[in-house]
Amino acid sequence: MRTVFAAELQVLPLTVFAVVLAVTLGVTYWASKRTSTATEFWAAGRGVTGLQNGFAIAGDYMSASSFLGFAGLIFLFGVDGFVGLMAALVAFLPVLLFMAERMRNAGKYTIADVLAFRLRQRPARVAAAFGTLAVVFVYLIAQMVGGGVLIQALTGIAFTPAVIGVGAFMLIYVIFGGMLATTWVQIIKAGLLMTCGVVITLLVLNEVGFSPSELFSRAAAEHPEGDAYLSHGLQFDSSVGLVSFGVAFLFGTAGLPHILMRFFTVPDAKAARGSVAWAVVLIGSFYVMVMIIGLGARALLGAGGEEAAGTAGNLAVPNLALELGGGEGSAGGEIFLAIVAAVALATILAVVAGLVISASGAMAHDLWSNVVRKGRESEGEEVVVAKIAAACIGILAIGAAVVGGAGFNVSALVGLAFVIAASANFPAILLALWWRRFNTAGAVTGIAFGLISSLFFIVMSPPVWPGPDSETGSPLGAWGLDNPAIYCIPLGFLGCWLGTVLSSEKPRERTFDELNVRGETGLGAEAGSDGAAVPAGEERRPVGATST
Amino acid sequence: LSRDAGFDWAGIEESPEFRELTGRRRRFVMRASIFFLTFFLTYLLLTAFAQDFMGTEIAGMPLAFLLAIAQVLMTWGVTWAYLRTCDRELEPLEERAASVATRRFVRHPETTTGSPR
Repeated sequence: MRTVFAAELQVLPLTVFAVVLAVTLGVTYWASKRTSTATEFWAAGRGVTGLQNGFAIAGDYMSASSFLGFAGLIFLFGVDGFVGLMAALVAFLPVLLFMAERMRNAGKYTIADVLAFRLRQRPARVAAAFGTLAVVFVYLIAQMVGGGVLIQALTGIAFTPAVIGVGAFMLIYVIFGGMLATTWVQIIKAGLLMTCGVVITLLVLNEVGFSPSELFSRAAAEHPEGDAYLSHGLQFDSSVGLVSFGVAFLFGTAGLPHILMRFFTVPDAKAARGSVAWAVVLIGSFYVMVMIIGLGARALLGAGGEEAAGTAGNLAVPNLALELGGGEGSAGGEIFLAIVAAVALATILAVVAGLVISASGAMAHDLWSNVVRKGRESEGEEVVVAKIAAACIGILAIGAAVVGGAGFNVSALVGLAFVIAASANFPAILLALWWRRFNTAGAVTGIAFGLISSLFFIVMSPPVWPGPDSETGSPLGAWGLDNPAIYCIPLGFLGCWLGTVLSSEKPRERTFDELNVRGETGLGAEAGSDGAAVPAGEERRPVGATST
Repeated sequence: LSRDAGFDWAGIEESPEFRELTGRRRRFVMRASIFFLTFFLTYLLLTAFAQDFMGTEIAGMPLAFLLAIAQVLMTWGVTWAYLRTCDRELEPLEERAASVATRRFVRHPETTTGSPR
């Protein structure tokens, strides 16, 4: 079997990818004609439907790491790879039950809007913007480095030009097409990814005669550990470590700025919860397919495929596609590999575009407009600043990815992003939306506790300090965890509570009553593209009535 | 848009119609949260501490796989139940609370009851 690691430029994958890029550029051109105001730039004019937003959330959320990464982990370690996928799916229940609708009704463009709703504007916004930027920046670097390595392996483009290329397209989508272009890039990507997943899954199942037990027995027979491949414990050597890893995904999703921001693009709360429903249908079915694909890679490629799959197993799926299409050298195999490679690249682009637009909201809307300019800016200025901010963040991330190079520990970075999201952003947003007594000091302390503890425990974690190959190990000894969410999330909540009870802050002008009424009924919420939200005094339209 | 002006938020918050809406939603959200957290954390703890048990085969499939599929079905089930509760129970209450609010709790009618846009 050929090792899928292209030493020279691969024409076929590049051609397929050029087609995908041409379509996304067309979409960006179309979107640029419809993007001039701030609401259009960050929230696509709040005219995205529930179904469209469900696809876009799926496209925003499922990174190359959930497609190639998790399938690769299942290929290498068996059922341990299921845990991250399931945690990442169940994570949408807290989003649905606690976040989606209230965020839609209380916010405008960013998660800081939700915190600043009834807290003191400047400290709340600065804290929330830091939480957002920390998550986005770390996650962005992880995606760019992971993407660069993948593109190099699949197409033969060297790492540095690959990262710069990804960054350039990401910036084109965001700067010219805003949220509308980003949304459609994510929708197209979700469609491509689902189609690709269905085809590979059906081919794998066909190989084993559509018998799950055949799939499992062949996969176990091909693994050196035999039946241990079908039970837990191959990937994680610490049970507490596995629990902490699962908890990070479970609560991290509800603190990811680029996912939460998607709820501002729909016209009302009903569309917000509908979009979560579509997203869990898509993501759930895709994750089941990823499990089957990962097992199929083991059953069909066997132990001999391990070298070709790379150390993290990221190339197991491309190798599987080559095999399913007819093997190396066959036209079917090469074409199938090219399609999978192009889908993987589209996946990276859709995720990084979503990340950059959420960071531009934190920089331009939160820090510039509301903190530096204190709301005196014009809307035109806000959009210009947003584009400059997007360019700065993009260039910084490209620079960091190029300088750090392929040596960055991508899974440690992704872990860090989820831990910060779960321990800094999630507690503060949850309590701002639901806890009457919560105040500014609580939000600032909570975000600070979450951020600082995440950074501390990640730096002290075994893979980072004092280096993965060190003899001495982490200074925390047995307490050091690869993913420290189990320490950091309680610390984030503790910070929120301590700050709240220790400060003697006066109630703000806008009260929890207003947030509560607005969150539950949509009265006074930001209007949708068709003016669907209800301004004070106007009779609420019955459900289903057409709006004019 | 007149987004702050007009409503007596505290008045709406205390109205029985609004109280019923929040009470019903809270009841669903609390029950659903206890259910999904228990369901998922049981799975997570089993993967971490009962690894031999998770390798048990049922109809040729390891329990680890079947319980993962159960998480997918559970997520879909809770989502479906919430959407159904919203459609059948909560939306009519939202309508009622909002119409009571617009009839009784507008503080500055002259600034807010303009002609329809």
